[in-house]
Amino acid sequence: MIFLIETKNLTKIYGKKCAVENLDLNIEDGDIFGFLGPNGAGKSTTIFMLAGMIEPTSGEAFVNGISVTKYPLEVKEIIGLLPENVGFYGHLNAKQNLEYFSKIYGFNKSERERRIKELLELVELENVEKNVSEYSKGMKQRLGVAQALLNDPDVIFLDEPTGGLDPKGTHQFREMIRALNKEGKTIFFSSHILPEIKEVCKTIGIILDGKLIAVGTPNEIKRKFMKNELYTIKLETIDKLPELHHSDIVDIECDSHHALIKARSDIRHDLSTYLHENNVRIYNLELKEPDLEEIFLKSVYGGD
Amino acid sequence: MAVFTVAGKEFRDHIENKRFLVIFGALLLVVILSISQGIKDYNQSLESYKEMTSKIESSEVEPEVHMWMPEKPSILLIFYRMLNYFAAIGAVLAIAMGFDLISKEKEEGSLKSLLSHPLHRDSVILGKLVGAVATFGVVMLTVTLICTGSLMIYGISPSSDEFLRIMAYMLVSLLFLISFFSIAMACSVIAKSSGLSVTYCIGIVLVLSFMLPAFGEAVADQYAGEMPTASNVYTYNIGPGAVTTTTESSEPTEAEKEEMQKKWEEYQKKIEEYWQKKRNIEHMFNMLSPDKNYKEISNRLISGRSSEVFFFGEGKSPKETETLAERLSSVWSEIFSLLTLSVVMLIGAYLKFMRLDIR
Repeated sequence: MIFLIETKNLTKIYGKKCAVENLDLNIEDGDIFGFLGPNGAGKSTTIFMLAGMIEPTSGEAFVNGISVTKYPLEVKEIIGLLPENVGFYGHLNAKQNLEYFSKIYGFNKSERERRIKELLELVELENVEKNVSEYSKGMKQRLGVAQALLNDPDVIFLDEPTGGLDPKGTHQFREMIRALNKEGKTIFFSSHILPEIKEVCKTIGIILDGKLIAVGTPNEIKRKFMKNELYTIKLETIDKLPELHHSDIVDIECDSHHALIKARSDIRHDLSTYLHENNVRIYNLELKEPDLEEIFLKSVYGGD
Repeated sequence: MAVFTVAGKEFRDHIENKRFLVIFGALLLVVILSISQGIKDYNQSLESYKEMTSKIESSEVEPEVHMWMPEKPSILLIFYRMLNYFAAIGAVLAIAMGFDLISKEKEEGSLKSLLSHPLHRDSVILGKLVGAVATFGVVMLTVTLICTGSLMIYGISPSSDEFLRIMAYMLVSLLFLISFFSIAMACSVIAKSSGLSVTYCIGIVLVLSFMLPAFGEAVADQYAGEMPTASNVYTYNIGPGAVTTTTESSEPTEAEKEEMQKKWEEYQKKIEEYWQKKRNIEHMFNMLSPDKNYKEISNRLISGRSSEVFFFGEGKSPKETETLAERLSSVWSEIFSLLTLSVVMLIGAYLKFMRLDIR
C-alpha cells in the first residue's frame, strides 16, 4: 500500500534530549490523522520535520513519495502548514499577508487575487480591513488556515490548531477541517486534547516522550489499551441474586438485587445464561466501558 | 526570485516604518543644516583666499609669508561639518533598521509562517539584506541630491575630481551604514528577543566605538613611554619660519649652534618616533571601530588630512592635488577593516540563521 505520509525511523535529537525517536508512521490518502500527546512529547518536532522545516537527525520522511530531507521545497509545494501560535506581519492586513506568501509560489497577479479572495471568503475574513496586529486569536487561526491553503495543498499539517480558541471557534474549526477533508485533503492534526482529536480524526497516533506508543482508529486504540484494563459490569435483577462465580471475575460488590462486577473480560453472555438457568429475571445488564479519554489519561498521564 | 520577493517586502517595510521615517527625517534635517553651514564656511574661506591672492599679486604681503598662504579651499570642506552628525545619526538609523529584523519575526511567529512556504532560508536573510541595502541606497541618494542641489543653488560647481570625491564619500557613508546594520542584524539573529538584541547591539557598539579606542589610547600611552622633552631650553630664530633651542641666553657661537642643531634634530627624531609608535598602537585599536574608520576615510576624502594629523597638530598639510585613487590608497586599511567587519558580521548572521531553531 502506498501511503501519503510515511516516516521510517524518524529521529530528532537536540543536544542530549531525544525529541522524536525512531518514529514509523503510515498515513493514508484522505485520512484525518490525529497526533495526540502531552506537551513536549515531540508532536511539533515531528510536524516540522514532515513539513521540511527542520532536518531530522536520522531516519526518513516522505510526503506523497517525495523525500522531505532531500527535497524540502518540493514537499512544501504540496503541503500546507498551520504552525502552533501562527504569526503574521502585524503591520499588514490579511490580504497583504497572503499576497506576500503567495508571491513565493510564483502565481501571477490575477491568479493571486482570485485565490486570496476565495480563501478570505472561506475563512470569513473577506471584509476585515484592519491590520493583523488587531486580530483576535480566532481570527489569526482562520488566517493561518488561509495561508496554509494558498497553494491548494494535498496535505495540511495543523499543529495544535484549536489551542486558545473559544468553543464557537473550536466548533467552526472542526467544521472547516471536515469540509477540507471532504475536498480530498489529507489532514495531519496534532493536539494534546483527546476530545478534539476524537471529534474529527479517523486515525489516531499517540506519542509520548518522542515515541509512538499507539496508532489506529479510536476503537483500535481503545482495545489496545483495554488489554490491561478491567471491565465493569453493572447488573440489576428483579429476583434475588444468587451467588455469582466466574473465573474472570476479579472483584464484586453486591446486595440482593444489584451487583457491580469487575472482570477481566466481557462476561455478560455467561452471566445472563447463568441467571436464566437459575430463573433470575434480569432488569438491567450493562457494560460500563471506560471511554478513550479515561484510558488515554491513565496510559499517558498516569491517571492524572 | 524569492530573494527579491523578500527584499521588496523588506524595502517597503523600512520605507513605511515610523521609526525609520523619524530617524531619516532627523538625518536629513542635520544634513541640510550642516551643508548650509558648510557652504557659509566655504564661502568665507574662499573670500579670505581671494583676498590673500589679490594681496600677494599686489605685493602687499612679505615674500616669506607666501609659504604659509592657504591653498584654495576645496568644495569638499562643505561636507566636513556633516561628517560627525552623519556618523552618529547614521549609526542609530542602521541599528534601528536591523536590531529586530529576525528577532521580531521569531517573537511574532511570522518566520514560521514564512518558512512553511517553499523558499530557502538563505533567501530570507539575503532578501532582508538586499532590502536594507536598497533602503540605505535611497537614504544616500537623498543625501547626495540634497548636497548637490545645495551646491547648485549656491552656484558652486565642483570639478570632476571633487565630484568623484563626493561620490566616493557617499559610497563610504553607505558602507558605514551597512557595517552598523550588519552588527544589528547579527544581534537580531543571535538574540532570543528584540530587547536582548538591542542590548547586544548597544554593547558591541560601545565596545567598538568607545571602549576599544580608549583602551588603545591607554595602551599607546603605556607602550610609547614618556614623551621626549627639550628641557631647560628657550627658542630663537635661526631662519624664516624655523625654530631651534638653546640653553644659553647669550648669542651662541657657531660651534654651539651646530651642537644645538644636532640636539634639535635628535629631539625631532625622538618625538617623531614617539608619536609614530603611539599612532601605530592607537591605529591598531581604531581599526576595529567602524566609526573611527569611517571618519578617517571621510577626512582623507574631504580634506586630504587624516584625523590623526588633526589630533597631533602636525604632519602633512592637505594636498588638494592628490588624486582620488591616492587618497583611497592611503586609507585602504580602514576601508578593508570597514568591509571586513560588515562581511564577518553578515556571514555570522547567515550561518546562525541557517541553523536557527524555528519551532
